[in-house]
Amino acid sequence: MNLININLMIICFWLFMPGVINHGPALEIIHLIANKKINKEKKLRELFLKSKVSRAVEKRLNINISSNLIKFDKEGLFITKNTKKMLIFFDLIKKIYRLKSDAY
Amino acid sequence: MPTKLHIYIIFLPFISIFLSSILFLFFQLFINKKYLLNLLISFFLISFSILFIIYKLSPNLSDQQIFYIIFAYLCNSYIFVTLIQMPISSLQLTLLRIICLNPGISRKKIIKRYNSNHVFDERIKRLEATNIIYKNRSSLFLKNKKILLYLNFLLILKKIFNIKN
Repeated sequence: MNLININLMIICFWLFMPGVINHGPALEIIHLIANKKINKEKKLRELFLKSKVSRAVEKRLNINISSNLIKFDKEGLFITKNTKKMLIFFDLIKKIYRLKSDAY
Repeated sequence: MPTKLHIYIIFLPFISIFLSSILFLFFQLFINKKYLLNLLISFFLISFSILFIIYKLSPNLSDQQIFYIIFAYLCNSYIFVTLIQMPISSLQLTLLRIICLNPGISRKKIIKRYNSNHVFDERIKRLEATNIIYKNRSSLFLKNKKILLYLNFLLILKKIFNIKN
């Protein structure tokens, strides 16, 4: 019983960590406003674009390629069959829970 | 040999998060409020019921079992919140969607269509819509300071685990 409990806790913690490692752009904006005391939108955008989070799009694109979610071809980028299934799953969640995405 | 109580303890956090997801769905379908609020209400309602169950069963539970129930429920809740957030704001999923809608698109075109400027505008809009920040002329201010608890919690965890982002 104790062994099962400890192992389940480790699994839960292992699933919990990626969110801690990758803090997103919204939290970076809040961090700049609250902790760095930057309020001017222009300055905020400037610092945001200079921060590491600004390279998030390229970083995520590379992660997608390295984790085989995207195939890289001469003609361009394509998604794999498994990625298609994953997108269908997330679209299903979006529909069931009536969520609206930021973009696309 | 595990008793019935042991099996209940193992599955309690998982059953709880399932109930929390059903409750969230109910709120989303029948109460027309912001999803984040619905998510928080369903999380806290189930949390209180778990604490009530723990209180009722406390003579039969060890400290370790109580810790397991609470910790596993919190981790599962985090996973559920992430699962709900992903279709809304995940950059990785947005990129995959762009490629799915435009097969054969080049890397340059993706970056041109969806870059950090775009992400910044999107996030500012969402933070304003969820009343976390507000705009006064050309300046932005924090409206809801509760978000700082979450931010500081993450920053502390990052320091503990020496993670540099």
